[in-house]
Amino acid sequence: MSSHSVRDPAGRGQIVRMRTTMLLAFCALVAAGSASADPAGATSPVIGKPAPDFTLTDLTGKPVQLAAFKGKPVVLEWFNPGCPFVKRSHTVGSLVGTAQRRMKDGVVWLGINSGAPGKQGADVKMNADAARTWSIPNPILRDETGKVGKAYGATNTPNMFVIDKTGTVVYAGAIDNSPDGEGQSPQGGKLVNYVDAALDDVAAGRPVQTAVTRPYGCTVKYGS
Amino acid sequence: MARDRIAIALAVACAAGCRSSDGTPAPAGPPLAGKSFYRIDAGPPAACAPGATCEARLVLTALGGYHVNRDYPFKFLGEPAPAVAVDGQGAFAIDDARHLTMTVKFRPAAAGPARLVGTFKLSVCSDDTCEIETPRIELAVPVG
Repeated sequence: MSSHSVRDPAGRGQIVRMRTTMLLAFCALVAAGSASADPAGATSPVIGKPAPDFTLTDLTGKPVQLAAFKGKPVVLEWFNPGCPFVKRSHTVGSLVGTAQRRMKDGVVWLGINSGAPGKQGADVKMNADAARTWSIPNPILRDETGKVGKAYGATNTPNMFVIDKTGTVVYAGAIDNSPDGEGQSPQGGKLVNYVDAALDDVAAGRPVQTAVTRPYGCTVKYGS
Repeated sequence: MARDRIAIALAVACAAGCRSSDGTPAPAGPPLAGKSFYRIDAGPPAACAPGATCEARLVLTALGGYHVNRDYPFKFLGEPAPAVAVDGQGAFAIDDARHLTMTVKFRPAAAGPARLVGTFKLSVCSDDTCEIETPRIELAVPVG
């Protein structure tokens, strides 16, 4: 094929056409994928898609299935009590009081710890102690295999996902735009709680304005 | 006696170039602050005249298996008088995976050593964990 096209100008023209077609196809793919990427280049494999269902157990061993909450907005918060960014977010930053406030409005809030056994913050007692100390009102679910975390593409703690009433993931990313976890260093000057903003958009029945951001914090301590 | 000999031997060895466990050269001399996974040293002094805007540099070195957390908003929060007043919260530049330089601007009123005091908010990470640290830094900067 290639040797033929080198000898034949018409063949070269065919290659040019093929390259143009491939370029156009690539551009179309990029355009199609733009719904899952924000201008800063943050991406999520689940944004705009049905939320992957799961059944995990909470710290007391009680099973919790995501599908049971269909019809309600759900927030998933990837959690690791040993991560200093999680600690700061829950003690001085944007996670202080947010779950309490939103759960009163009918939002379901689930913490998920995808740390493998023996990894930082995976210990059940440590999670229970943190929940009590930081007044966390929501269940913390154990995802020791990391299967759920990987299904959502969770990379950091904290890493937030908002699921609307139809079961579609409408936000994926950071809790806010202050990567110190304290709300003291907002990028762009004004602190934005992205989860609050997404839930407001969901409640108002409008598209989520900022659907994807790049999460900051510690890496999720997957086993492999 | 034996302990002194060991200390002298270590000092001589470090003068020849201490290295952390991963081979990163550690700056000679005691740090301004630090732990097993990071240290902060004063950068090279710059000329500074009374009444002028001067700059002091702080160099963060991540040690062991740690690296500078590229996502973190590093800051230097200056303390009020009697420390010299600091302009802003410092400006940082990541030199490489293990080094970051924080430049702090200040305007000393008089000649003599200016006492620069503040909190360096920093973060370093390893493959297993991230750490946020807020060491208090005290540095005498020659003026005049």
